Amino acid sequence: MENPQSETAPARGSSLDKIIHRLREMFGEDRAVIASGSDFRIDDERQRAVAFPHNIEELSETMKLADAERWRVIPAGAGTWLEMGNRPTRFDLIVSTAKMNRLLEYEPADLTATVEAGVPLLAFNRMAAEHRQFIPLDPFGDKRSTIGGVIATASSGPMRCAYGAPRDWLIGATVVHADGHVTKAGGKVVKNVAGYDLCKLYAGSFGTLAVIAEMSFKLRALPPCEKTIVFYSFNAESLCSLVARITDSDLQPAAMELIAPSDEAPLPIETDKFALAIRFLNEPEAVDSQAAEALKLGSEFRRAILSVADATGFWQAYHENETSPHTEFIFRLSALPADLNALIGDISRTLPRSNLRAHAANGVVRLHAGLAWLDDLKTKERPRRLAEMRRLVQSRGGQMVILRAPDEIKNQLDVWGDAGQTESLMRALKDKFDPQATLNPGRFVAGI
Amino acid sequence: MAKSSEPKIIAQLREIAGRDAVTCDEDELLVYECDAMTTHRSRPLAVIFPRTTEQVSRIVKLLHENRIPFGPRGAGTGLSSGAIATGCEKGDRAVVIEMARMNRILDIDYANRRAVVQPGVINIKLSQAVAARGYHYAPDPSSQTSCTIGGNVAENAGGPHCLKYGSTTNHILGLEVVLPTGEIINLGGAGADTVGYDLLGAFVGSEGTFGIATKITVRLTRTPQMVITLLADFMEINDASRAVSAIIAAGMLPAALEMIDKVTINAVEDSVYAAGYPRDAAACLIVELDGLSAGLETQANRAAEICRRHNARTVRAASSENERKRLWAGRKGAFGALGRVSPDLLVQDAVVPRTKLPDVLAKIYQIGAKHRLRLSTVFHAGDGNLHPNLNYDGRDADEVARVHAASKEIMKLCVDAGGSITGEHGVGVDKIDYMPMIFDQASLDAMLMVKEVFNPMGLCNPGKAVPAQRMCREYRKGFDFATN
Repeated sequence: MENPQSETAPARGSSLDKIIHRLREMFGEDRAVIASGSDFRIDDERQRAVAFPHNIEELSETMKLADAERWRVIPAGAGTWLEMGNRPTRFDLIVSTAKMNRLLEYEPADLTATVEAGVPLLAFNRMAAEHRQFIPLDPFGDKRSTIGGVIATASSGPMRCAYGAPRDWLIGATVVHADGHVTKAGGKVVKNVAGYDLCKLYAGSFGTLAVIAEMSFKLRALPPCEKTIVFYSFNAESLCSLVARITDSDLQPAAMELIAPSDEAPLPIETDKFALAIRFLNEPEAVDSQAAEALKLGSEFRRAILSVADATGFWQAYHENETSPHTEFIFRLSALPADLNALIGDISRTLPRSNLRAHAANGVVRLHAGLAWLDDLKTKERPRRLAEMRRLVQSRGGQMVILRAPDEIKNQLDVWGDAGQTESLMRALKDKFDPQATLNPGRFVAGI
Repeated sequence: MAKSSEPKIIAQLREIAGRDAVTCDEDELLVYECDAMTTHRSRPLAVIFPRTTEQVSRIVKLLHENRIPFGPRGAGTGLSSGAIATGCEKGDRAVVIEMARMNRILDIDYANRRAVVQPGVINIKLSQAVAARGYHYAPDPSSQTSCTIGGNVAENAGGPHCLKYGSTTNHILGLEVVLPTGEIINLGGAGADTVGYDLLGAFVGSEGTFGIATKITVRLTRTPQMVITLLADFMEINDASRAVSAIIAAGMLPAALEMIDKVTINAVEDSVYAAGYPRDAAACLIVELDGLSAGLETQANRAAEICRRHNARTVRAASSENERKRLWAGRKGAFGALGRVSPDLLVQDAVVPRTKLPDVLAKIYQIGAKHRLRLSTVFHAGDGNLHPNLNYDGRDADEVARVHAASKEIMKLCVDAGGSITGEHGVGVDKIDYMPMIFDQASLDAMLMVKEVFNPMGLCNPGKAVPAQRMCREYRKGFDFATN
């Protein structure tokens, strides 16, 4: 119903009915469905075949079948980030690990856990919270987001400031390759240098090398106390200099988000000026002393210390707002942290009126825009402006990735940008792992 | 053809790096026959000391074109025989590319908390260079006063403080690499996010088999406001290991949590590293807490209380920076001190889940006793990263055989407990035969696929990290340097 342009869809090798029939025949009625509407939406395809293996053996068999039938496969978790990436050149089947959602091993005293790929991150962290532990990742996106999806897309959130990226917490992975065979990398212990670190390659590979089936993580103790302070200013530069002072101090903020003024974002803070939201997570004494020190460092700014309830509400809204369906465009720019202010300047000149948010300590900026922004720019102007923005950030040694954009933009611009001098290594890697280009063809960088 | 090529190659190498930058004197080459693990030896064909990336690239290109195997080397402090040059087949000789002369710190960028160094920079020199501004380079292997950052990258080196701060891989932001063909590329970049596969993450810890890092961008870490170092001693080793498990289980994250057993304590106390560890204790724990001063003493008290609850005889905090340094000098000098006890020392490096420590440790001592060996342990207890050490005399064939048998049993024990064969020293030559204990052939093949991408001919550091069916591809048999 909502996809009237299905004639632009990529070519499909096998008929949907045949695929569904074969899957159900082999694995049972509930193992394959036809998705429509916003479920597992890929491009403009009106209907998609989705396989739901229930364990790694079924996943392996599903991939063997796909290999034998020459079906192109898009691996997915809950399907909440399928819009990311270039448009796939071809696909026949989505293989979702969402029904592979068992906790395989969890020994709280070891601070490690092994899960199937389809376990939602939020559900895992809610369970681990009973033991005062968590995987310290807070990616933006849907509540259903699976851990496999978070790893495959290397998604992180504001807590990256203190806790790093998904690659830093993954200690082992079992994957199913394009032809169905199963391999392992890493292990279940927190320190391990046996063999090449393939976990790093799988994290952020968008399912183009293999399908992640199971993963082991190291966990952290859940900090018992937190506090959020928001500093306000009418100019970004002064807040950027506060960021520099804080990062050069003894403070260890868990998150430090710079938020540009916006009349669209419904956040429970003042949104008519720049805001710097700083979150401390630690033991009570350490939180209090850091908050006091932060207030001292930022004494010239107007500020608000959020109550526990307000802070919870703020960070929740901040997360939900980030990937709101009303946001038509999401771009992620990454440069050196000290270049943040200059980058903001580039952005305000090149892509004015987009909403800007940044992991201020990491030099990562996310830009959001709704359809109104699109309407402001003439059709021809849009890709030109985006290409110009990408050129500017690349001239600072950084990158710009288009996380979400309408097809008319994706058809004209590679969402990833240039892989540069590593392109041939990346292609060679893809050719080794997936010689038939079964997995996510065309969706990743350099046409992979 | 083979015989006339040898001098030509040496001459060509000299042309690239300078006359004094190539050694092929058999006596001088003896030094490069092994690294800090003396069990495995392989004398190189030549050692070359480049000074620039461009030289490294030209050297590698030349060796690649002539199908001569080669391997990078830093300070040679590694403990897996990863820094010895092995040929493609047994008895073959390879060229060592010694990175020690590329030892400059190129840039320190406090605003972005990063530094750019050449691979030959000694680990501790970087921390010293940034100390006055309140920063340090977090990975701190015990050999940090002599090991190089390039070697740390190759091995994904750890150290006592990676319990809290992570291993080398968590601190590397970018690399300039000379690929095994001689091509120069950059991995990583200015931004926190780079596009495409995480080749940087794959390269770190590839043990010199993916190429040679010639420029390294590292993360600088803020030096903690306050450090509290506790020394707890126990009359039963089992109590010490249960205290370790209890500290981890309590969700505490000490900066370091180290265990030293009685044999090691006495070896240290007999050496220049004497730290004042109580000689009659069955084991000591060093528990270090760092971070903000607010609340740190509360945490230290909690850790001390857990130790006491597990029958620690005494728990005391280092009262001065000097005393703290002395406690650490003893710990970091432990391998050196043990090395003096007998002609040879085998340092093992295995990992187990932290909850398995008490059980595994008890069994390790039983294995030592069964094989009538002088076994001691000194290790990163908080990570479950064990270093069982075996003192022996390499001239005693029977003892050597017992060392190897015990070593293998210990590995099997750790693997069966859900662990790994190496936590920080690397596989190198030493543990390559153990790899099938933890990975099936399909998983090893997946690793070899990545190796083929970076190192298709296999000439770069053959015989390390992951066992291969063929060590090198299209290896030309003509170069029989041994007879020249």
